[in-house]
Amino acid sequence: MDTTQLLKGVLDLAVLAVLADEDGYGYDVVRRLRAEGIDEVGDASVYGTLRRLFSAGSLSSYVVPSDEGPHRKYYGLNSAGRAALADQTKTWSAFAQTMDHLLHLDREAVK
Amino acid sequence: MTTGTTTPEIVRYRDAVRAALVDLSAPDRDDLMEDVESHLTEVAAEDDGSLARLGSPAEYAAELRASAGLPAQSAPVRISFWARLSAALADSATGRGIERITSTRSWRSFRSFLPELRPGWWVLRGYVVVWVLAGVLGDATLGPVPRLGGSAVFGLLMTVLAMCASVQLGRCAQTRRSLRPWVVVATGVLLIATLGQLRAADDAARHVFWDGGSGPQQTGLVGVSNVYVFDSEGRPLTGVQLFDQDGNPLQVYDQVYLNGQPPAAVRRYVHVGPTGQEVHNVFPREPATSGIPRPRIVAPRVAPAPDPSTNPSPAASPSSAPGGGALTPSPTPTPR
Repeated sequence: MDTTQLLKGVLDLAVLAVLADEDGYGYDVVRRLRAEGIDEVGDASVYGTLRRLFSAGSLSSYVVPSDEGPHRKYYGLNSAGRAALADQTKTWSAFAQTMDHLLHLDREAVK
Repeated sequence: MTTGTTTPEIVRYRDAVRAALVDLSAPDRDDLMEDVESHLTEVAAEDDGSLARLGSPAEYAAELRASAGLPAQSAPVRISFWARLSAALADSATGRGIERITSTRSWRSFRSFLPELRPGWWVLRGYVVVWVLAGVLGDATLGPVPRLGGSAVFGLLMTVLAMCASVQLGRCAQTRRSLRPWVVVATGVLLIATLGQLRAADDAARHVFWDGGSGPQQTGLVGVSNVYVFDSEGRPLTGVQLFDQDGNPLQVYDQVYLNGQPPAAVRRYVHVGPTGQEVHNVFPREPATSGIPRPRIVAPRVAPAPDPSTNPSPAASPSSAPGGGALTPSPTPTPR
C-alpha cells in the first residue's frame, strides 16, 4: 500500500507534532520527520504544509540570520497550533482505533 | 548545521520553480518562494551540490502549491515574455557567467543594499523628467534649476511637483506590481531622452565660441573682425602688430577658433613674415580677395582715452595704446 497517499492526510499532524517538540526551520522539520521514519514525504510537501499551517494561524514564525547562505525562517506552535495539535491527535487516535478494530488488529493483540 | 552557498544550479532551479508558479497571485507566489532558496541550499550542501533528489522544478512547484492548499496550475501556463527571455539568457554562456557573479556573497549584499537607494532614485527621476522636458522645449537651463516656459520659478515649481509625483509612483509600483512593466518602459524612455539631452548639451558646450578666459593665447575681441589703427594726427597706420596688456598677440573675432583650423577665408588674412612665419596680429588685415568689401574708414575724431595722463589730447587715444609703437615686435605692456 502506498504510504504517500496515507501521509497526505496526516502530514499536518506530523508537522505539528514535530514542531511541538521544538521550533524548527523548513529543512530541520524535513530531517526530523525522516528521523522519525516518515521518509516518503517530499521536501516540497513539508515546506508547503508549513506555509499553509502558518497562513491558517497555527504557527508563528521568525527569521534567524545565517552567516553562510540565505536566512532561515523558523516556525513554532502558537496557542492555536497547540489546540489544532490536540484536536487532530484526538481525531487521529479515534480513526486509528476504528481502523485497528476493523482490521481485527486490536483483537489479535488481545489473543 | 550544514549550509552552503547559492550556486548557479540553485538559481536556475529556483527561477524555474518561480516560473511554474507564475499563475499564482504575487503574494501567494512570494509566500511559497520565501523558503525555496534556503531549502535548495540545504539540499545541495547535503548531496554534494546536487538537487536531483528533489525531482524537476515543475514537480517541486506542483508539490509545493498542492501541499500549501493552493490550486494546481491551470492548464496551458502563460509564461510571460520576460520570464522566457530571462530563462533563455540564464541558459546561455553569458547567463552562466553572470550567474557566477550574481551568486557571490558580495553581490548579494550589494543587491540587498540597492532597495535602500530607491527613494533617492524616485526624487532624482522627478528632477530628470523636468530637466529633459526643459531641454526638449528648448528652454536654456540656468545652473541646477530647469527653466520651463522661460521661467526658472515655474521650472522649480514643476520640479518639486514632478519629484512628489515620482515618489508617489514609486510607492504605488511597490504595492501594485501590474504597474511595474510600465514603470520600466517609462524609465527606459527617460534614460534615452536623458542621453539625447546630454549629447545636445555636449554639442552646445563644444560650440561655445569664446569664453574670454581660456588661456593666455586666446585674447580676442569678440564681434570685431578687423582693426584699423591711426596715429595721433589721425593718419592711418598699416602693418601694425597689436598686443594686449599681458604681451599676448591681439586676436580678432574670426581668428579665434577653439578647435580646428580657421576656415580658408580667414587664413587669407594671415600675414606672412620675411622668414615665412605666419603672424596673426598684423592690422589692418587685408582681405586677399576683392569679394570682401573694405570698410570705409573715418579717422576717429573723439574717442575715450583709456589713460589721459599719458596724452593731453583726448582725441588722440590710439597713441596711448601699445599699438602706437607701430611695427614693434615686442611691445611693453601698458598697465591699466
